[in-house]
Amino acid sequence: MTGRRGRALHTWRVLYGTAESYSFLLPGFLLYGVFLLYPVVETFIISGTDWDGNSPGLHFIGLGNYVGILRDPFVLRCLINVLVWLAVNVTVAPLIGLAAAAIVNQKGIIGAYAFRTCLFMPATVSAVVIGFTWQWIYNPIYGILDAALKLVGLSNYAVDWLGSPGTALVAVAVANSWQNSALFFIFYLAGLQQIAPELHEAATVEGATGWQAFRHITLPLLRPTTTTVVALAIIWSLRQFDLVWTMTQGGPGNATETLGTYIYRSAFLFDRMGYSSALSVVLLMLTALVTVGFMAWRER
Amino acid sequence: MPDKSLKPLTVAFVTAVFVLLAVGPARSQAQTTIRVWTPWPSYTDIFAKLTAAFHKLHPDITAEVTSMPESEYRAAVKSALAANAGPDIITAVPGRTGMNFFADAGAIIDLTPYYQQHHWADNYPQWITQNLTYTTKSGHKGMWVVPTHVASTFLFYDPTLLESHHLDVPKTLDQFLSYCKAANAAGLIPLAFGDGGGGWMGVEYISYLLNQTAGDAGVTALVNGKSSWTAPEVVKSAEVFAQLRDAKCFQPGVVSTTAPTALALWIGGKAGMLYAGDWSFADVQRQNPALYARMKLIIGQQINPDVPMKPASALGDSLAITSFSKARDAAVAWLDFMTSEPGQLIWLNDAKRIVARTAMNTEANGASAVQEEDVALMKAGTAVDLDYPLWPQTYSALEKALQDVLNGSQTPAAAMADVQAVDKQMWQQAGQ
Repeated sequence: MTGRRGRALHTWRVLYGTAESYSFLLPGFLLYGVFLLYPVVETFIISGTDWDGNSPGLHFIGLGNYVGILRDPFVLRCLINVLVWLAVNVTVAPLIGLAAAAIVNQKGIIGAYAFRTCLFMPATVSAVVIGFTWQWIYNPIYGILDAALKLVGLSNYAVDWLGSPGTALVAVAVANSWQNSALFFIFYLAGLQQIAPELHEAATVEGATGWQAFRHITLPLLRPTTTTVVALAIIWSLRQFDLVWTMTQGGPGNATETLGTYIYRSAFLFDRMGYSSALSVVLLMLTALVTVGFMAWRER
Repeated sequence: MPDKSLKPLTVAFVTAVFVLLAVGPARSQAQTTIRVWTPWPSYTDIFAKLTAAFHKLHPDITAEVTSMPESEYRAAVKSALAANAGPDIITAVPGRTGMNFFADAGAIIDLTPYYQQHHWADNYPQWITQNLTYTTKSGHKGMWVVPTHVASTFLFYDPTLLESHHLDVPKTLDQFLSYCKAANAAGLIPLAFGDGGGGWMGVEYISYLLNQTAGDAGVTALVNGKSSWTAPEVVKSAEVFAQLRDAKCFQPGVVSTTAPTALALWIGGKAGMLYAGDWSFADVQRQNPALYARMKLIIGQQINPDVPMKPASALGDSLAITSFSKARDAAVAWLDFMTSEPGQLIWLNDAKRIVARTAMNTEANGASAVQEEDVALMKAGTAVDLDYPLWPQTYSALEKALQDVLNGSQTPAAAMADVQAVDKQMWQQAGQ
């Protein structure tokens, strides 16, 4: 009797404890479910329809939208643009962030806090403001970039940066890298401050140069930070929308069209919510694939 | 025994409760609020004036106007309507992406009974009532919107500036090419033209050019899929663009220059002419009242002497009532006010717009000289503005094709072939 009662009591305690634990998780799970899982599931469902975004009822067309994506020349164009975008953002932004953090982290810099604040500031500004600011920088009539090029005798290089198909994409990607580098700067600065100074002191005693210490101590110890930074750069690059829309709306021609802008255009300008949802699913898969692939490669 | 000192307080309390019970519901029933969504954040002051004037006429109705940028407006309205929520009144410009789309989806109501009841059609010229009449895919023919003002595009110029540089206003294409040369020599940008922000101004420009190269019938056939974008007369309109580009008629960076920057160039005296819409009148008046008082406009340059010049015009703002509006009568009252003289006068005099109610004597009601000029040109006839009747995909392809022509990355023929490919696909998908 006692044994049976004891087991029952134990089971009850386990169940109660489990229920209590789950009750703490419930609010978070509800929020996650309502604002993330449900829209994702809904997107999957709509991607199988030809819904225009307004008509009542859904008409299922199977994999029609996905077949359409394979045949759509704009999707290929967007993917090529995304690759260029990715190349700029995965290299330029982390490098600027790392260089800035390495400089500011040095001992004896007067006004280091002021520099940190200034370097971090672009991360606090909205993409729309960044877009307008860079539009002015690139402006061929009033812009500071062309004016500076003309001033140093490089008039031939003073072009319509956002209006020429050959330069527009890189020009917008550079503006984006400038903003992202601010956040990456903070990541790297935090990473650098985690490194014990004794390691560098020991390297100095052993006769290592500054570059050697950086190459063989700092960089390997920043590996987890770099993984996070590059993963974020990949994810942000793949889903890029706001800055491109503000600066060029995908133009000139289709020179700066990304999957993000094409998804928006398809949903809200072309009234193809089903197709747009299918594109979103493809983007989700692509992002997951690239990010997981990158993480797996880093963890080897 | 109750305390006598509390008696007056008790009586006052009970009376107050009865008064509140009696007045409260009656008051809440009498007050109706309508929600109006507009894509015109720059008209916040105008809407404040409109809602105040409306409330004076209808003290029992309050209009709450929410304005958002045009680029976000359609997405917001579509999301709201899909969720059966949102405003009582929306802007739904006649055309595939606006009025037709919402009417097909059953998201807006047919206003024909109200047109008859309030005689709204009497206020508008025939081309306007034709534009707002549409038969839905399910076969329901109706009048779906009430327009408040008309938007047309022109070439603006400052006669004083041109005279000071000894430049004549070009009337033909050849004259325009010569003018561009002379203006450049004089250190002026011949024509400020902002095609940035997507390329929509290019579509506006090509609308009037097409009217010249293809004529009314040609443009109508084109927008209805009965003609091709690769037809010689259509390609010719894009070739004119290329000619103007080669003659350096536009400022550097025309593809990335936004319309407000182009306007600033002209207002600042850096450009001899400006390609813009009459929606810019208020900006000119605000930034340079003296320039606004003396500015003049022309439709463009004659390319084909056999085709009369017409400005590309569209119903810039047209109001529709959503099908789920719970305050339909109040919404109809707002529409009636917007098309009546008090409402139209605010659009004319405060917003400097060209009102849709052309039956109104604008001169007697304080229209400026340039507004009068605009009305006179528009009354003589209007060309189709390609901003609205095209498939959205065709429109987008046209925007991009014209940008390609402007920056020289495609020939006009190749650019128009791209547009044709998209347009053909759209008609095929529609089964027509």
